[in-house]
Amino acid sequence: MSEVKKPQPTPTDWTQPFWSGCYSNRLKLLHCLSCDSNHLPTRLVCTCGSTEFEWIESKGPGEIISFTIVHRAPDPAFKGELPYVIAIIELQEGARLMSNIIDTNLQEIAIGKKVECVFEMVDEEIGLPKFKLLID
Amino acid sequence: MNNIYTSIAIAGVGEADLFVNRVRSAKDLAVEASLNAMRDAGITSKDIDGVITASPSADPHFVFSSLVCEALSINARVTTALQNAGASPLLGIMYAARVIASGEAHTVLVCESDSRGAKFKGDKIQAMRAARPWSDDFEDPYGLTVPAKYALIAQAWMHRYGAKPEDLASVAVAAREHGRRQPLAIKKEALTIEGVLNSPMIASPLHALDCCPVSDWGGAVLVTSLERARDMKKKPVRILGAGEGHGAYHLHETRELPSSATSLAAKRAFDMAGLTPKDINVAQVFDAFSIAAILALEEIGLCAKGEGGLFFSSGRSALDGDIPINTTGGMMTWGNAHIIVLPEAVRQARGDAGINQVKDVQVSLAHGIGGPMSLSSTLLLAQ
Repeated sequence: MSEVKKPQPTPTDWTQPFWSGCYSNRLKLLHCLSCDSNHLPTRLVCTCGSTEFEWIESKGPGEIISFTIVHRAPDPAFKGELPYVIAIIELQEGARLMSNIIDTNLQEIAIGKKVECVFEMVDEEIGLPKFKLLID
Repeated sequence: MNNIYTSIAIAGVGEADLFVNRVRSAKDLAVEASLNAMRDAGITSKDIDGVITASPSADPHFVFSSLVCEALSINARVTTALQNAGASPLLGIMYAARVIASGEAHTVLVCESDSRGAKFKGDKIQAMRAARPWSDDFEDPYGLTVPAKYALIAQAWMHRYGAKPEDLASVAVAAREHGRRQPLAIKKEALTIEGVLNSPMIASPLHALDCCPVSDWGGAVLVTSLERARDMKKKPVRILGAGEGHGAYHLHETRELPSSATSLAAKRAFDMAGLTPKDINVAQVFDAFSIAAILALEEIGLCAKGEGGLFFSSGRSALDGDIPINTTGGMMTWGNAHIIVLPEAVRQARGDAGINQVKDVQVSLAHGIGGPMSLSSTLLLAQ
């Protein structure tokens, strides 16, 4: 019997650098050459209207903007991990993303806490960015 | 800008019977609701020349609006199926008004229905996810669920205003007080804060009773010119103000958590009407999740930011309170029926809402949300 698989990213030409960056342990962001803001590739046009981007690498920690501890999974593939944490994280560069906070005592998670990115390999080409609480 | 809504009216409303043990497709539910709306207005299918539906997710079809037209034997000049989740019904009214004002059709049926109760068996969260034909690369690999999306908003709201799970729970308690009075309601017993907090955690801080049940539903509204509506059976209900607001699609692209697009939608509606939140006598707001109703009240301006929970727990939302909210018990009582805000808002404006009727209603508000943050809509209705 085949194992139920979690939904995986399906890279496009536009998002490939992000996902393959994660595979090589780099969190890549789109940097707008016009207004200097940084984004995930969910946008193809910057909030300022520019389409001139370059890929940069996120350097540092992020901060928890919000989080939830999930007790009911969307599909059987996630059941073994319940309860797990989903968070919105703001990176030092200003870009935000959704991800999981892993390897953590659930009691310690709070809005405003700092997190660092770690990478989980999905297959031979794709990695997923995940986060751990930074111990200060 | 010329306000097209001054020449438009709502002439009839109807629902399919909810929580009855019958087997109905999304089409059947749309038809049942639509026939009730036609009876309400005193017209037949032959008097309708436009149909705007939503897009059912449990019982999906391409060109669902054509399926409904065929079933009702409506020869439509204009028809389309919107796909804006919980905002579809109100947006449908707004598109109908534009179509009528332009002269492309004179009487438009707006309906929304789905058979989620019948189709989504077992674990509802998994059934809903399994029925969804797409996967989002930036959300789904992390195990996101719909309740988890709202939970992320709820957590940010609690953090910003120092609110507690009890504040969230007060929404369901208030909804039950209104819902349990309804003849068809399943749950007749009162609900307590402890009852909500003792229900299973779904995605913190949201418990099972912070989330609406999953159900079949159908609702329909007939939109026509004010002139035509005057010749129909019921008192015409005018649209004083209409507004939609748009935010980001993904939560991570929303810069201002916990805000939604409702403040934009409501402001546009109030500006059009020349009214303020103080003028609202009764409101039907989107309450699929407790936090959604709280944000709706705060962003419409019916209470201060951070005080949405208190509005419910203090009784201000009760039938005899300052501004009665969700007078039928809302989605918390009736499940995913996004459109139920409309028939009730119209009846409150007409003064024929029966046991739910609020006294001396001058302005009746309806509100809908599509996606937690993506799309919001507000209508201000009056006789």
